Amino acid sequence: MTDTQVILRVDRETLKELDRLLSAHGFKTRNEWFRATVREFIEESKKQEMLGKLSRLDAEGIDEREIVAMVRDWRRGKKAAR
Amino acid sequence: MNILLDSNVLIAALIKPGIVRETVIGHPGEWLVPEAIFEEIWEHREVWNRNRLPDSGLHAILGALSDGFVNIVSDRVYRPKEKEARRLVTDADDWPLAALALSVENDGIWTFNKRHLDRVKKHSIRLLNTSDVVRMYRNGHQ
Repeated sequence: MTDTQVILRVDRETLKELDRLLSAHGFKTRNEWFRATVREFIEESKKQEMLGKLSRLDAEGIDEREIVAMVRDWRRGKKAAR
Repeated sequence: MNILLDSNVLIAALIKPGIVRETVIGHPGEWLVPEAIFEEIWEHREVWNRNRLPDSGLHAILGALSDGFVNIVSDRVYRPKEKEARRLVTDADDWPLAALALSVENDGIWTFNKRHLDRVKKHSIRLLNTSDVVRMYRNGHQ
């Protein structure tokens, strides 16, 4: 994948603090930190999006045993129909 | 990790908010589901789709799940192990899960019903319940 340059503006004090913390957290360069942070943000956002989509399917108060029974019942029905 | 999901676990991830769903979504790409089980779940959507979402909405959700979180494994991968797998399951409809476990390297089968897959353990395939899976991740698998 081709890299694209991103130019950001930030005040000097914040940048100084960022640089101090970057090395404390094991990042060698700002670029390395930026890439990792963006990647993490995207991954986390995708998870939240997926959880949001799944919440539309929420069934109230169902437990594991009921789910096992649900599958067993539809398989029984299928076998009986054969 | 590569963990196989039984149909009951996949349904829980779909319809039940909580630890199962959070674990599956929290570790994208680490789950394997035989194509046959994914199709079975779609065929019986009227049973678990209690909120009566239209098919288009369901299709989009299952598509997003299989695109980014759960790997649906083609029948061609596990079909060669069908005969052997059928001897290991008490419910014939479970053979794709056992066959997939025999076909690919994996860390076990996550199921709510260990009893019906008990014989796969003869092949050194681990049967995992929810606590086992949560513990595996807590102990350092990311």
